[in-house]
Amino acid sequence: MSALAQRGTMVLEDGAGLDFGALRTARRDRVFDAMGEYGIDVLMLSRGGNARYVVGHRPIWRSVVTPWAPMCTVVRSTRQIHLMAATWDDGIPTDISHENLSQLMWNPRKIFGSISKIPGLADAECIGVDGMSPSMPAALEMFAPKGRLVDAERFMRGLRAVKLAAEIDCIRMAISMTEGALAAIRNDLRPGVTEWEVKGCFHEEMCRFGVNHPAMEGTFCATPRGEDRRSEGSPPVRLLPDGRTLRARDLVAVAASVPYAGYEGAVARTWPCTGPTGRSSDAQHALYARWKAAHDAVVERCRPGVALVELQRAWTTTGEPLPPVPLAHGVGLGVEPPVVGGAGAIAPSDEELRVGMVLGVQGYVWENGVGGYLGAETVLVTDDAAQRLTRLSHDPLSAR
Amino acid sequence: MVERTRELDLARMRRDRHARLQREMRERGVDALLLLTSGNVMYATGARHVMADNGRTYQLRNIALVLSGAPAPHLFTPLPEGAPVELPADHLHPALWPETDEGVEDMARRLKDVLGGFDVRSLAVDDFTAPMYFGLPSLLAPVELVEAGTLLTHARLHKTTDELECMRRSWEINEAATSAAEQILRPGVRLTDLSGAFFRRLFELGATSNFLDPVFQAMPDRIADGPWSTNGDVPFNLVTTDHIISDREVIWTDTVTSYEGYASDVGRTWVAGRPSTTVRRLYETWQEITDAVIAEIKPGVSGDVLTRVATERNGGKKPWLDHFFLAHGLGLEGGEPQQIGSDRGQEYDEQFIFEPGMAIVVEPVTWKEGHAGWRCEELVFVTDDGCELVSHYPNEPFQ
Repeated sequence: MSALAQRGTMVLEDGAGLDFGALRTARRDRVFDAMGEYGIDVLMLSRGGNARYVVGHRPIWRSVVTPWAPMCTVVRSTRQIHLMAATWDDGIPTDISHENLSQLMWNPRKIFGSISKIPGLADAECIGVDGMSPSMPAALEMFAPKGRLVDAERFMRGLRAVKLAAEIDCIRMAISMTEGALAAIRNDLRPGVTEWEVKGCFHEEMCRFGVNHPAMEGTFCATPRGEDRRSEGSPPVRLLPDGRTLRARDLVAVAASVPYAGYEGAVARTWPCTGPTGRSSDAQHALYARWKAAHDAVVERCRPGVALVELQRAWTTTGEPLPPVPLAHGVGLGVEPPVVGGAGAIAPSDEELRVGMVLGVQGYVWENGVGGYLGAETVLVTDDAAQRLTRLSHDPLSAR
Repeated sequence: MVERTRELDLARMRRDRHARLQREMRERGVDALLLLTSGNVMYATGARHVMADNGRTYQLRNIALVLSGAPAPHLFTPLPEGAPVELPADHLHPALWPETDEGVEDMARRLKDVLGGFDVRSLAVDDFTAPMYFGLPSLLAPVELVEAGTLLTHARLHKTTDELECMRRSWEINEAATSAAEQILRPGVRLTDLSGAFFRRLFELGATSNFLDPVFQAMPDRIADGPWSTNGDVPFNLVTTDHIISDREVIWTDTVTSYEGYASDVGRTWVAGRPSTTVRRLYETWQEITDAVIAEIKPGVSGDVLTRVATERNGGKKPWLDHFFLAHGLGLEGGEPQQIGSDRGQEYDEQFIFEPGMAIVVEPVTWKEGHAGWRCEELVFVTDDGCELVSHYPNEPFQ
């Protein structure tokens, strides 16, 4: 294993550290090069991860999905980036000029007026969009009469899938903070504490890193010990914390994500709620061992050239039923495709893994009367075996 | 009739919302709704989700399908445990994944399975993924895809007593969490520490989720001391940093959190240390403006009355931020599109008439260069003969 693989929070201290200017330039070069290659004149992006990939800005974060709008417009002929709802330059890279910022507006007429003034849009023949709201096509037809719309989500997904070295360092930092905050709350899992309280403690620990929001609110849940009416053959799971009180012998699944510069990883662990003197049970240790065997089988297949469908096969070959959570998904500037398995996800395509992809690999096993084990690791696909980026142990259940 | 009650019946609330959607669909001749955006899916189904960065939500999303004349909505979800208990089993479906062409083909097949027995000519959609936009119209032809946003905005505007009670609880929890942050406020503390205290109390008290990166912003004394802005107005709300609070610094807050999907939008002003007499005067003027504005809110009054009264009380200068508004509607997931004093202009405000069941946030701002300013948000419900002030946060140390 290389020295690089052993860095956690020391990632910024070792090596070159993180040069965000260089990272932004590298990402943008990729985007402009690919726009040229695919003949896309203008990109209009609404999705946070896509916009952040091109811009490298720090927008105020919301946890809701709102209708598509061209928040970020990228013009190939001028190599300019134009931002909507950008009232000030706080958090916006200095290489984006003030003329390209358009303030927060509510009046559709004014919003359209501002879009129509973007230099180069009127002449665009091919416009890539990463979504569309029902009222927008008519307006775009007016501003870019020659413009043919194409799917830019697929385009951006292709660019984002393979990570630059600095992106991997950002993911490592995100994971380190997530693991730090998780480790800090492990002793809070005592009988009598509510799941809500555990969730609250996690968020407080997260903020100690100077971070202001999570990438997801997370799971802090006692796993069910009995069947559930909605599980229908799938292992019963709980992912939404509520006001219930943790009891001794509960297996508590924790999954969380703290972002760094917009990047995130995937971390999940399951801890027994034992109280100060309690011990974990043999059955709980056996459950962890089952999870590990199935999970390792999937990670073993995380190699270049392996089809996504193979990951699902690797899990089921161990005899475990498919878990009610995705078995694997891309991570980077948020969760990204590919998504393999999970409740209702369509069968994975024959898409193949490539060197430089970063995946959250996740699994869940369950035993009647015992509970469930949820675990997730983040791995980097390399030329050789997958490199694990997560570092937190699975103790106490792995300590045998 | 909007009653004042602390009772809450979530199943009744979902039933009432479904009935309202059915009425809107009938009146507008829409045969079915296909909903993808968070607030609309919550409204139609009441389904919960692990709230997250929207990158995650795009991959693992709840989608609603509502058929005209049907007794319940259909929910497609990766998280069946988030579905309301009363949702019939045959209305709860595995997730759709309209992120690829194959995913949209699968979506079209499964939508047709549900639509099968119904005569559906028009399907109203509130948003498209790119593969949906390019693929769905031909896959569902001859069904015509139309816009759903206007219908949903209209349905969501008037709240039932259960919806109002959710908002009341949402606001109460948010105020209590905001108060936990204020209790640790002092020079030397980081702004992100305030967020930590806020989150901890918020979730301990059972807030369903958080919607916005919580804002705790140290205000510059002068606008020019802040970042460059497009409009030269007070730069708010910026992303919260780990800035260390100094003595006498003025802090503005803005937090949006959920109870059963219903948003609260608490905004307060604090001073770290002893406030100056100028800041006290800014507060007093803010309070006068706010009282005067709230006194005008009753059924039949138009929005421009509020902007006029507020401006008069502020000596002829509009007391709100140029990029925001004096007041706005509130509902699921955050502010709703009814804004008074926004860039939509006077005509819009004149046409906006208050009606019982509306939830309105009032957020005047007073500012004096060299001394920063005062901004708080108050929530009122429009009642049959006036309005009810729902927010209760004290303006320490002045009250």
